[in-house]
Amino acid sequence: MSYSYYEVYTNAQRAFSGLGFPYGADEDAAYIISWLEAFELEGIHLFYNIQKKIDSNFNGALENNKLTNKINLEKRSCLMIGPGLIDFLNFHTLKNNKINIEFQNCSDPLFLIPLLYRAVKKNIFSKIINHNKIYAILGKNQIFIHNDIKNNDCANFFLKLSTNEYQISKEIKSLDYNLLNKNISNGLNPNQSSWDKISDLAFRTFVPESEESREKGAGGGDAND
Amino acid sequence: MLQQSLNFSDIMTLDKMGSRYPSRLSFSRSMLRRLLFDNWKISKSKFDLDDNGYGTAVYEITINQNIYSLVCFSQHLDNADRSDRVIAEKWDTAYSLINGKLDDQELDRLKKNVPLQESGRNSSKELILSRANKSVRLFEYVANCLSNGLQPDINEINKVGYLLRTTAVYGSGKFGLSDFANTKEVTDFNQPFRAEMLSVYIIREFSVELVEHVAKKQNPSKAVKLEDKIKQHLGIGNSTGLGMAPFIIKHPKLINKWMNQYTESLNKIINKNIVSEKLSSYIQLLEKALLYLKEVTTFDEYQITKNTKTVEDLKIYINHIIKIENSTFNNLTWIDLIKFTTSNSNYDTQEIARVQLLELYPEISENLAEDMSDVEEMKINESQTLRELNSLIEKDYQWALEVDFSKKDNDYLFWYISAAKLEPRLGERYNEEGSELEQNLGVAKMVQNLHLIIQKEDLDLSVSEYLILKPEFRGIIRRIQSLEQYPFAEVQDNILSKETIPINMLRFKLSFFGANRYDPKSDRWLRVSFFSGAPFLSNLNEQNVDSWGFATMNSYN
Repeated sequence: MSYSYYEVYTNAQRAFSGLGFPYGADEDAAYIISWLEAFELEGIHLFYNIQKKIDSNFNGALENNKLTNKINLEKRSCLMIGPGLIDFLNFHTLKNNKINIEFQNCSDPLFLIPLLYRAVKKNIFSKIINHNKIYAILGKNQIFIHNDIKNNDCANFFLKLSTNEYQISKEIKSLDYNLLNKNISNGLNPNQSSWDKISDLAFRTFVPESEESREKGAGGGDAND
Repeated sequence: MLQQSLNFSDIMTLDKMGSRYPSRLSFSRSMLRRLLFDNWKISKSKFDLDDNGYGTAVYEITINQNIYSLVCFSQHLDNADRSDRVIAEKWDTAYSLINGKLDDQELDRLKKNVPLQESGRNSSKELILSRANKSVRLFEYVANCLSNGLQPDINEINKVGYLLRTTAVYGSGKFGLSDFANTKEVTDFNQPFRAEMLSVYIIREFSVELVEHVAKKQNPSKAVKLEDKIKQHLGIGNSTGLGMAPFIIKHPKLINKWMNQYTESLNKIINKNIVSEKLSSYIQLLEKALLYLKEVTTFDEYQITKNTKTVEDLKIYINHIIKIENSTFNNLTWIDLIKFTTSNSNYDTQEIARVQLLELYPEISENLAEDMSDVEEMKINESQTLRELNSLIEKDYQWALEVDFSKKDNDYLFWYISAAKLEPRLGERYNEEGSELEQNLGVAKMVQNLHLIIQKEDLDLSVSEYLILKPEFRGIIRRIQSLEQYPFAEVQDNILSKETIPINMLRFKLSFFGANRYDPKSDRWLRVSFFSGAPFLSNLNEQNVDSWGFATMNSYN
C-alpha cells in the first residue's frame, strides 16, 4: 500500500514518542526513518527491527562533550545518539573546516546517512571509509551508499567531515537526490507488516476513549440541524 | 515626513487572534481571483443523481491545460447518524479533488474509498478529501419552496447560511493524499489551502445544484431554480474543532508568513494621505461590516456579547470618520484614523478597521496573497552559546517567562489525541486521565523550564555541546532558535491555562481561510461559513470577484 511522506513521518514520530523518545528526539528519529523510506532504503522495516531494543530505553546522551578523535557508541542506536552527535561534529567541522573521527561499535550506521544529508544543506560534506574501502559519500547532488552500510554491516569506520565536497568517482553507482521528490510524488511503499507494527507503537500516544473524554474533550453538544 | 507605524507586538495573543476577520489575503478570496483572472474553466462532466439526490456528480476543472476533477458522492443518511464530530462514520455527501481526468475504473476506486473518508485509502493523485452534511432544516425548506415554484425567504437563508456543511476538508498528505510539497510542485495549486478552497467553492455549487435537482424531481412541472440574489447569500458551512489549534503551534513559520503578509500590507498603506474618494469608500465598507454584524446570527452568549460590543464600537468609529470627512483631512494619513480604534475600540473593531482598509488598495495585498507559504524546516544552530540562547529566550519569550506555573490554573489543561478516530481533544490535568500522553504544545511551559535549567549550566557551552549531554531539550531549543527572525510565529499566551478559550485559535486560522459567520457551539468548536455572498460561477466577473466581504442580505440588489 502507498503512503504519503507526511503519513510515514507522522506515524514514525508518534511511534518514537510512544517508545519514550523526548520531544525533538522523536522528530529527528522520524526524519531519519522517513528519509530512508523515501530513498527506498526500508526505513520503516529497519525501525520495526530495532524497536524492541530501544523501547522505553532512550539513551541519547554522551558523557563527554569534548571533541576526541575516537567515539565508541557501544552499540547504542544512532536513532537516539545520531542527531546530537552529528550536530556536535558539524559544529567542529565549521570551526576547523575538516575533521576525521573514528567510530567504534556503531550498530546502525545507515541511520547516520539522513543526518549527514541534512548537513549537506549547511555545506558540510561527508565520507565514511575504512581501510581504503569507501562506505558512503554525500555530495551536493548525489550520494553513494555501500551495501555494507545499507545492511548496517560495518560497526567500525572513519567519518570525515569537510566544508569541501568529496568527489564521487564515475565508476561508483550513486543515488540521485531527485529520487526523494519522485517518491514523494508517487507515494512511499513501506513494508506493510512493519508499518502495521509501527502503527501499534504510535497508538500508544493516543488517550484511550472514555465517556468523559467523548463528552467533554472536544466540546460537547452536536446540534444536528 | 515622519513615518508612523502600528504596534504589532501583541498581535499574537489569544484575545487578538480570536478577534480576526477575513481579508483580501484570505485563501478563499485569493483562490477566487485566480479562478477568474487565470481563466480556470469548470464544467460538469457527470450528474447522475436519482430522484432523492443520491448518486455521483463530477466537475472538471481546467487550469493551464491541466485537468482536475472534483467527484461528489451523495447518499441517504439516517438523522441519527448525522454528526459534525470527527468520530462520525457516515455523511450525506463525500468529495475528492483529483489531479487528472477520471475514467470509469478510477471512479469505481474512488466510490469504494471516498465515502469512507478516514477509513478509506487515497493515492497521491488525490489532492483533497472532504465530506459534508445537509442542514436538513434549510435543505428541506428550500427544496419545498422551489418545488412549489416559490423562492425561499432570504431571512430564512440568513438564519442558517448554507445547504451543506463540511465537517473536514483534508489535504497535505493526510490518509495517502498528495503531500503539499508535491501538490505545490506538480499542480497549479501552489499556495497553501488553494486546492482546499477550490474544492469548497465547487461543493457550494454542488449544494445548489443538488437542492434544485431534488425540487425538480419532486414537482417537475412547477419547480423553479434559485434566483441569483438569494442563491448568492448561501455559503458552504463548516464545523471546526480543536484540530486547528495544534496546527498553529506545529506550523509556526507558516503562521508567521501569513501574519507578515498582513502586517506588511497594512504598513504599506497606513502612511498614505487620505483622499476624499477613498474615505467615502472606507465609510461604505465599514457600514457594510456593521450591517453584517447586525444580521449575523448565533445563539452563543460569548459571541453575542462580542458582536454587540463590536456594533457599538464600530458605530462610534464610523461617526468619528464622518466628522473628519465633514471637516478638513488634508494632512491626515490612514494611521491617524486607525489609531482611534486602538485607543477606543474592542479588538474586533480594530480588526474590521484594518481589513476594510486593505480593500481600498487592492494592488498592495494582491501580490502578497500569492506568497503565503514558507519553508517550514527548523534547524539547530550548533554554534550558538547557551549565553546567547538565554538572551534570545529573555528577548523573545518574556510572555512565557512571566507565567507562574506553580499555580495549578496555569498548568490546568492538556492537549491530546483521542484513540477514537484520532480526534484532537483537551483535558483537565487534575481531573482527567491521560495527561502523561499530552502533546508537546505547551510552549510557554517548555521554554520556562529550559530557561530555568540553563541558568545552572556553563553558559559558554555551545548548543551542540550542551545537546550532546541533554538531548531532551532538542525540540524546544530548535524551536526557539529557528523562530528568532519570525516575530509572529508563536501564540504569545499560555495555552495550558484554565482561562484559555481554544476557539480563539480556531478563529485565527479560519480568518485566513476566509470564513465568516462565526457561530461557536462551545469553547472548543464552532460553525462558520465559506464563500457567503461570493458570486457563483455563472455570474463571476471582475466587478464582483472581490466585493463580497461582509456580505449582507441586501448586497445583491
